[in-house]
Amino acid sequence: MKGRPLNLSLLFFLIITFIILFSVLEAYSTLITISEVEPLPGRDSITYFLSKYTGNVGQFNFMVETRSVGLLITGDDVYSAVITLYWSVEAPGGQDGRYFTISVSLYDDNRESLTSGSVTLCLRKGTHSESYTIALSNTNIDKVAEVETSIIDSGRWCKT
Amino acid sequence: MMKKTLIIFIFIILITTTLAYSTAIYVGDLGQLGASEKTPVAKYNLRVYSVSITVENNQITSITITVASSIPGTYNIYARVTNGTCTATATWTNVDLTTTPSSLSSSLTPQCSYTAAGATVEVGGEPA
Repeated sequence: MKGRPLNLSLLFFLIITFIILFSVLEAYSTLITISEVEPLPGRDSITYFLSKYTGNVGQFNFMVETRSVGLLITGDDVYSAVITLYWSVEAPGGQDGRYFTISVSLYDDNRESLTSGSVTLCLRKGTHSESYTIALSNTNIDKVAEVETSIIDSGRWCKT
Repeated sequence: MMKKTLIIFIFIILITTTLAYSTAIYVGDLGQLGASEKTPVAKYNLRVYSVSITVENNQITSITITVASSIPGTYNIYARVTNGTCTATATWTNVDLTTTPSSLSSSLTPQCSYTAAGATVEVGGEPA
């Protein structure tokens, strides 16, 4: 049995086909090889920013620090943040302390805000440390790339 | 006749392989692929639930973090504390992480000052 020799276009077609086939199989076998070594990185780091505020009004000095931040979770969603503040506040006679606004913001990889919350507190004069809960809208924890706190002086004295 | 048979045969192989491959990806990202169920390809997401620093005489002396991973396994974890130009790093090696948070503590060297406007804490890790 004697067949005609393969023409050039058919030969080209066969070569391209084999290259595609080889590439697909190669990609798949690479995936299998990777899987045997270790899981792949999805999110491998998260950044927290713990803020500190110092200021004064005349002779009265203020210092407020965020010393810890914790995220409260239900399922895979963050719903609140618990912050621990440490502060030293001086206030004039007749005033019990000063108002500060504490905020927590969650950001994704593109620095887009996912959720944020804040609370305005009367931080009584003297040196103290306390924890506070700030409500956030539910956010999937795996989207959170950054957790940032901020402290803003409201500019008002407070009485408790 | 032989040429046509060959072309059809190659087409069938190509289409079948392509369909199988694209279906595997479509079914559920890379997590569904793998050599067997014992060694699935999976993406781990490190989850950092809390960061807490200890401050003594305005110096950041130690750090405690609560961390978990969406894929259980053994990981090397680090926490890098930066304030201005000062950077201190704590590391934990061969930490068994699950989806349940684990608490890790370490002292920090050098001890950075805790000054306004604050300190950045980067917590990261990779499979050990």
